[in-house]
Amino acid sequence: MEETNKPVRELSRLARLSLTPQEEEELAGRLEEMVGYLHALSQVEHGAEVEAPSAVPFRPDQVEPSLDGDKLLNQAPQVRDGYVVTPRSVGEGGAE
Amino acid sequence: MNLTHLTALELGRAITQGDVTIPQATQAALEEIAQRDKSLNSCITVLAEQAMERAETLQKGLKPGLSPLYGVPLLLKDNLCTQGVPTTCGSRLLEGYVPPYDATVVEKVKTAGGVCLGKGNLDEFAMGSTTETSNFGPTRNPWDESRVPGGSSGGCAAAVAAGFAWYALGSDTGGSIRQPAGYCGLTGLKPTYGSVSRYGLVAYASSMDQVGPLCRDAADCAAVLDMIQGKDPRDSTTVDGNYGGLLSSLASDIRGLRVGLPMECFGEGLRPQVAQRVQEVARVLESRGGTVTQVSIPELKLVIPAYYVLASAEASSNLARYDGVKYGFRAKEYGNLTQMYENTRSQGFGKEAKLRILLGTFVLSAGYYEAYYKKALAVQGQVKQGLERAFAICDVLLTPVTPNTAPKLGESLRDPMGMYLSDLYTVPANLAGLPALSMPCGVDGDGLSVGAQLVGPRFGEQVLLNTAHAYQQETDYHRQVPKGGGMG
Repeated sequence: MEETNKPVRELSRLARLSLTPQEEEELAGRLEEMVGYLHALSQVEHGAEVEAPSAVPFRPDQVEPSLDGDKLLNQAPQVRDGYVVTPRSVGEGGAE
Repeated sequence: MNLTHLTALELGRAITQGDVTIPQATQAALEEIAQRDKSLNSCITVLAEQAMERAETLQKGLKPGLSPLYGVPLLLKDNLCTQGVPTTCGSRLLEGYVPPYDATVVEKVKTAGGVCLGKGNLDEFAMGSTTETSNFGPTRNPWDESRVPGGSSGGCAAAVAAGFAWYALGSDTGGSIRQPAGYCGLTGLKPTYGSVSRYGLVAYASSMDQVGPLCRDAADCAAVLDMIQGKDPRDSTTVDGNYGGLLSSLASDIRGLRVGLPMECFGEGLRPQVAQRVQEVARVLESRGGTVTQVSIPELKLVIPAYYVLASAEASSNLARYDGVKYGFRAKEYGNLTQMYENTRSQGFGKEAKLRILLGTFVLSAGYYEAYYKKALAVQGQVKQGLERAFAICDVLLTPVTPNTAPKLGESLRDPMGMYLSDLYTVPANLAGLPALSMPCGVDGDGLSVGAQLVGPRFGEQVLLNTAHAYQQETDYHRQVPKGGGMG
């Protein structure tokens, strides 16, 4: 289907997924079927603008114990000197 | 006494009276799991040693005036964060993740004296209706192991039905408590949105996700809800209310109860045997003094497309956080940051999660947002209005839980659209934020459990529980256990 078959590559780029050709084909087919089904929504008249949820009052700001930094860092796949290690985020293309 | 056939409250009473010790009950459950879970695959993690240690400690602390569920062993769906215990969401993406904190509901259960036996299998990130999309393999239905237990809380449902635990906490975004409860012969309840904290529940579609109980009967559900409902400063979507007292107010007098049968839920696609069982529920409620009327809620026509647009949109946003940086799985090979994200996510997510992420990305993208997302929000508004109109003349709505009974393993994977469409009766309560309960109401020709659903107005948990309790005084479907289960 026009809407999803070709753009499935663009959608996966936006969603940071790199699909294999087989996955791309299978998921494009399933997306096509679902989007076709979702077309039923086109018959819906736009209702009144959906009300924004009422603002949640902020709690008073106060210092409280939080989760332990070391324990949180322990969860990271790669850590060095108390920092999470990732490839370079500015000027991509460099090594870690 | 057959321990594993007791309800949670019956076991709680037996513990209080000294007829059973907490370690005995825990041991009985762990033995059942060890013997039978190889084929059912209901648990991703079993905490045998920890549970026994906790049982011993709790036994020493036994005294009058404790929670009615003090010492009663339970299972947690593996999308609830548990301090020091792996939480997988049924996905490779959370490989190695051990939360440094407990979800609020887990804290509450521990405070009340719960013994956590382990973590229940689920569809990956709770996306599915069969527990077949789990990275840890499918769970089987204890009533018929060639069939699915439903999903996404299928591990919890199968385990409670099989006698591995006396109750479980699951989560429900589009029916993920009620549908597996229906397929496994249990009583399950999705609470009013905002009445149970989502802090520590791994998010799928945050505006609809809600934690709730999977139990053997309505009274157990009342006891569990009393334990877990309440305002939580760590979840700003929770609301203040008069929580607690559901169990003490549980009554089976339903004289004058106005029961509505939405005609849209008894039409095309509904298996005749399922329709028949649910109609029989209506007759039982009438025999106890309820009045049954047919109502029409035409707004329910588009609930499935609206639900899948909204849930996928929220999922694509919620699952963006899994990038291999701070926790969980990271791909081994990548040349730069973008490749690290892409390879991590591509290798970490299964097919169903990828599909829903792509669909969510699509409906939120420029040019399609108006055509899909905004229309789905409009339908959501209409569904709320339609249900409000129905509750002006009814106290509860009675519907089937699903159009069918549990399918064979593999059937739904071959027909995913059919699986999505079978959420027809459960998603309205999620779209409208209403409480809804599923209870067993007999079997079909294959001996498979049929579920009936009761939907109530906002904060109408008590009327749902009372109605189910009244029904369960007249019937014994909730007392039936699968063959092969139970030990003395």
